[in-house]
Amino acid sequence: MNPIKILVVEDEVIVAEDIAGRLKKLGYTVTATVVSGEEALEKVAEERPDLVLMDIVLKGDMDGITTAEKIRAKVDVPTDADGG
Amino acid sequence: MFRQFFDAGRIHIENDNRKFDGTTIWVEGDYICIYDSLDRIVGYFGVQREISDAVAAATQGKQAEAALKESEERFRQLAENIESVFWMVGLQPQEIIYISPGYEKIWGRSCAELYACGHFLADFIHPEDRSRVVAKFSKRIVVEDETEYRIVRPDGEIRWIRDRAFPIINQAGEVYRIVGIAEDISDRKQAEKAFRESEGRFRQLAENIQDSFWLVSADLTDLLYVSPAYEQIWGRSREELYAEPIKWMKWVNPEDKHLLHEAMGRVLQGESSSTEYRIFLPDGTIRWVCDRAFPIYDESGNIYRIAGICEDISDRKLTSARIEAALREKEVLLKEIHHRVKNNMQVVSSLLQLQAQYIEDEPTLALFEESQIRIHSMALIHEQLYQSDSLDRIDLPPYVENLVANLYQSFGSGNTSVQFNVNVDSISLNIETAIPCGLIINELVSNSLKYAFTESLAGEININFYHDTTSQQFHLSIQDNGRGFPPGFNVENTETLGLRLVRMLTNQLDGTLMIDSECGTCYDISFAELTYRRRI
Repeated sequence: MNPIKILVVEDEVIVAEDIAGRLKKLGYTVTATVVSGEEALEKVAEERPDLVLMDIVLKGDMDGITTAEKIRAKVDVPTDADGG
Repeated sequence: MFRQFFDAGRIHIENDNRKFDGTTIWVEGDYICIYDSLDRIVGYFGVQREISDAVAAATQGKQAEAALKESEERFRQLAENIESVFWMVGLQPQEIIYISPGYEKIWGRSCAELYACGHFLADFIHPEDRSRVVAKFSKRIVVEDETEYRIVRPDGEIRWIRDRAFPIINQAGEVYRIVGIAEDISDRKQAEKAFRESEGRFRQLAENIQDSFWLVSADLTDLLYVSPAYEQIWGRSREELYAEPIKWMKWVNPEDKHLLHEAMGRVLQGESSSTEYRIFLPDGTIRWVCDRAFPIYDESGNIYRIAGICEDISDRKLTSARIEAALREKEVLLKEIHHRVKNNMQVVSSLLQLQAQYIEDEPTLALFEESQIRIHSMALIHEQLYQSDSLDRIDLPPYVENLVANLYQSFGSGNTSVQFNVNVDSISLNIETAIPCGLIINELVSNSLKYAFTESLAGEININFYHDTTSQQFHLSIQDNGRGFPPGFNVENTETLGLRLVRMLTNQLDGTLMIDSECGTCYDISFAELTYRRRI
């Protein structure tokens, strides 16, 4: 069975790195860690993850909620929002 | 003449003769012929009388007549060229004796028609004025009289007339004629109407606007006008103020009086002023008003009056006080949050410190210490924020100074010879940009302090932070003159946490990192301030 693929969207890179490390330890594949909603949309298009872990406050003009809505409008990926 | 005399047999003539001394005399004479038996004229007989005086008198009479004619001519020129209308009517029988041609111009009707009619026609008078004017002129005029009325011209145009009538009395003491002069006063009436309308407009403005208008002499002793809104705002009657204008100062809050004195001084210097002050109402309540005053100049350019508008701003003052309080509260809350964040970080740091007391292994202990220092570099930002006036921007020079001093204390205790050269432009950054910057400086300066210098070496660490205003880029460089990287150290793929963090954070800043180890080590980072969508 292929490991579950997760995209991490988090503007604090150190936190993102931490989350990614923990997920890997738990046996998941982290497709990428990105800091903005725009990048998240690109990554989802490139390689469809099974889950998106989304921060609310992001770099750039788009917040996590808007980004999640846009991702869901494109592909059917569950998004979990964690607080900013 | 003799023919006539002889045929008639008698004659009466006046002729001039000459006296023996040569002077001319006028003689009046009756002459009759004397006949013989055959009726033939044989002579004549006459009686003469000197009439020189009478003839002289008659000549004078003719001259007087000429003079009268001249006088009448002058009157005619006057009457016929002036724009007003002269008129004369006889009473017994009633007739128009004279009307000057100005009538045709003003009334737009012919004089001849009027003469033919014999009296003035009430039809020409405006219907609204007709009965009044007719009543007036039907009365026997015994003294000079005057009236104003409108006429309607044949073209429908309405003109205003001022008509004055003067009775003329004959030798028997009776009024037998009336003369008058009628003038067109339409322009004056129009101006009066315009003035009344303008005054009416002003009155509507002044009396319906809720702000109080006022006009006072420059010495403040004579109140020329104050609009009714004054009574609503000040809770006092206008009569009271008119009686004693200077009284209003008594109702001003004593603490604010100097403001008004200053404002009046400025107005008398030719400036306008706006003053906010408190007043006492008769029931003791306090009201805030805003009084704006403007100088008014007379014809010779001196300030002789002051005009003003007084507005009740109590509600506005209350609202702005509430807003100010809310803003202060928000500021206090934000500072409180930064304070708590800083304290919590302090707690985290202390937890690590407590935990470290159970660690014997030196390398493990070092990891704990480094973690504490990293936490402290972030806590510093929050500490600075709650201590400064600006709640969302970090002033970099003091922050970098503090950060470096703290690192020096932690790592450099055994290395007192290290010299720091800190050159930071007066830059302020938002918290999103400042935190990564702080962590980067923390890592790089820590590395220099830990690895660059041997115990004996007198080291230098240069920190430059400047803003390139043309490219809007920030440049951070941290450089030491130490021994550089150890042989075989590949900076590009090193996995030490410090350098990993620097790369990650440079990424977060969307910046570029350049490393140069030619002479010591030098890190150059360029970036722009991060933009986050404002969350409030």
